[in-house]
Amino acid sequence: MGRTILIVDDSSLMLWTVNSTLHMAGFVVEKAEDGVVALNKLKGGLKPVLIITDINMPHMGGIELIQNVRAMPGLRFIPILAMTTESQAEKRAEGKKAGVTGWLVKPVEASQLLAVIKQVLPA
Amino acid sequence: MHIACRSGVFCGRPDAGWWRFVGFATLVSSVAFGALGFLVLNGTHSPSAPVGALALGGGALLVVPLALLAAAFLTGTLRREDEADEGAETPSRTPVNAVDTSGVVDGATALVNVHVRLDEVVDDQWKMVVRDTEAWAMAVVDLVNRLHETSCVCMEKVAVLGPERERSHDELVAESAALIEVVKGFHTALVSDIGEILSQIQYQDVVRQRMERASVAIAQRNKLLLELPQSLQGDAEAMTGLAARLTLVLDEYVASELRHAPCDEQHGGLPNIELF
Repeated sequence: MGRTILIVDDSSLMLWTVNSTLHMAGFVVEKAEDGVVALNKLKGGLKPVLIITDINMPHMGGIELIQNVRAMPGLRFIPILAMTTESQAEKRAEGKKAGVTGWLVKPVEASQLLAVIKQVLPA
Repeated sequence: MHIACRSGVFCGRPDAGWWRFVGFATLVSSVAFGALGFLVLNGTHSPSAPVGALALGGGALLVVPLALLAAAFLTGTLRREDEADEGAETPSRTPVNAVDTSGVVDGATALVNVHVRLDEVVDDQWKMVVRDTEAWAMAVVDLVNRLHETSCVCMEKVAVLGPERERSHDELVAESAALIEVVKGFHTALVSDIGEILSQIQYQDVVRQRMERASVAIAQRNKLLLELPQSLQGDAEAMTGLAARLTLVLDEYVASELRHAPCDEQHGGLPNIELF
């Protein structure tokens, strides 16, 4: 069984496309439509090797999700990638401060995404 | 300018109260003069006392209104009435009104300018969306074509391995290994190309968000425009305030678009992928 990646995005199309890309690359994918759903899955015992999250989402955005995840003992050092349309330095700095591992501005090519995942995941 | 009658002193436009006062004064003075004439003439036992009383009363009926009108001219009441009429016809001639009107016009002009600017910015965004979606559609078509070419190449390789001729066991093993390599290669190419097609679908999310941001700005603009009739009835401050709020909507929209602008690494911009 492949390693699990949690993807968080309020766009069902984004969930579908990233899920397909990761699934074809051999990963198991868990999906969440916002930060609250993602956090509940993590609190419920989900142990992904990586989290890929959007930034602007209803209920709980990506920055808040990252802050919450970093506060969870078992997930302090899990790599988290932000995949968003936000491209400016201020938001990146905000993400960096919250503890994000990498910043990817949409749209991201599948090959680029897989290369980044390979880079941040331990072999 | 409306002028009212206060404490018997006339000021400004003679209104109904003023004319009622003239009528009342004329009536009272006629009766008073008539009665006075009758009493005086009756005291002298003159037989013409009733006629004299009527003459005095009638005289008062003519003289009193004329006297009141003359007094009105002398005190300036009727002159002010003329001025009041002029003022009523052209209220903007007064200095206070002129300032107010020009302020409202300035505010309205600013409002219209911002309105037009917002439309131009949104229109630019629509044009970008049209251009980008066209490019993305072409990219998807290219990927599908590439997928088709990969499939054709794979089929050609498989055809070479066809069952037209007899083979030894070793040859069959070698061909099977080659066939597996072809299928593996095709699978890799298929996954890669499908992955790129899926990436192109992400543009829908980018466009959706761009349109949502424009939609929010237009909705905020329309909400402000609903306040326009009230602002037109108000003072210049209300109008310029409305223009300032619309400018804020435009500024926020432009700033939001900048935050979501595509990365332009080639021109010194931030990279679209950054690891911390």
